[in-house]
Amino acid sequence: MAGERLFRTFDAARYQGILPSLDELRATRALSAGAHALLASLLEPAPERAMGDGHEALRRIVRHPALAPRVFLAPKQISSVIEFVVGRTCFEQDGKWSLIERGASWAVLESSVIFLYDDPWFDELLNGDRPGVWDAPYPRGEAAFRGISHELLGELVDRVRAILALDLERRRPLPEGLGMQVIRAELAELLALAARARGHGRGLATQVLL
Amino acid sequence: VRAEEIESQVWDRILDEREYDRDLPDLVDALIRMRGSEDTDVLDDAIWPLSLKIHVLLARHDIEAAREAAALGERRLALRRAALAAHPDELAHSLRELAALYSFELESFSPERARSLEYEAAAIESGGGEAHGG
Repeated sequence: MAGERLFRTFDAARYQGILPSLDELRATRALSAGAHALLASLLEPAPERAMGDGHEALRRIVRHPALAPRVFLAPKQISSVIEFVVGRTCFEQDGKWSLIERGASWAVLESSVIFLYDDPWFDELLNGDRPGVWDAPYPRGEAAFRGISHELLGELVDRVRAILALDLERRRPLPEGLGMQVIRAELAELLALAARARGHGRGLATQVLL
Repeated sequence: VRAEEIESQVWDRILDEREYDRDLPDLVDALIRMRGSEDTDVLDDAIWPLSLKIHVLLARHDIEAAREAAALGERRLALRRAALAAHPDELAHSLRELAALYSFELESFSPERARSLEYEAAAIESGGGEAHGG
């Protein structure tokens, strides 16, 4: 992975709701009853795919409400729990995405990203300089992402359509072997994703894949 | 500087996956010293700095760091035996975690100790074993 940009549908309201519990997990002390109840509610059903060891570590936290996670879990396990909780609560399909598979709840842009940055509106958006775009405090590291509010999606759709309407071939020389149809297909996926998020009252989350 | 502040700085860098910051080992060593000198019997706060240090050591991916991590793992296990006395399932996890610390690149550098830890974990899980102080 190098420089691809991932977009996923994202429920910012639910994220705000779980933020105090994420703060408690970060503190690694015994959890409040409210945070414990939230975590317990996320155990079932088991995730369809392996998500680090977050699910297993979460099960252990829930089983021992009186114990501080710092006593019996390793740092990596606690960060995995945080990632799991955010994935399960705020993303579709527990936050699933893939570079190979296509999915309705995510889009991975590679060749087309440069055309987004050519647009000043998108440049500000992707750099986090636009109101309605914010850095999520959790998870951190490679899994860190930026939230894009639901209110921005109408304009985002218009901007992508405007980019698609341009004579892209004349704007930038394409790497050899890369067809313009690949770029258009990626942008069309972003359009479909934004439409889905709007339809579900969600925003988007975006991150650069390292 | 209070131990809580240093602890928070170290933990933040680990969350940010900045384990390779050059001053991080010194910072976490200072934290371990501060926690060790505190007049407190709070086991939680003695265990966590050791876990942070073990994490930083393992990120180095070299045998000397792995050995040091295992030695710290023994210290941590001694504390966990007390903290988890009423939670044998978690003590068994801790024993297995320490057994794994004795491996580097899929080979154990202390197979006897690793086997003994695994044996004790299995005995606890089967309900027939008493945790011992080894």
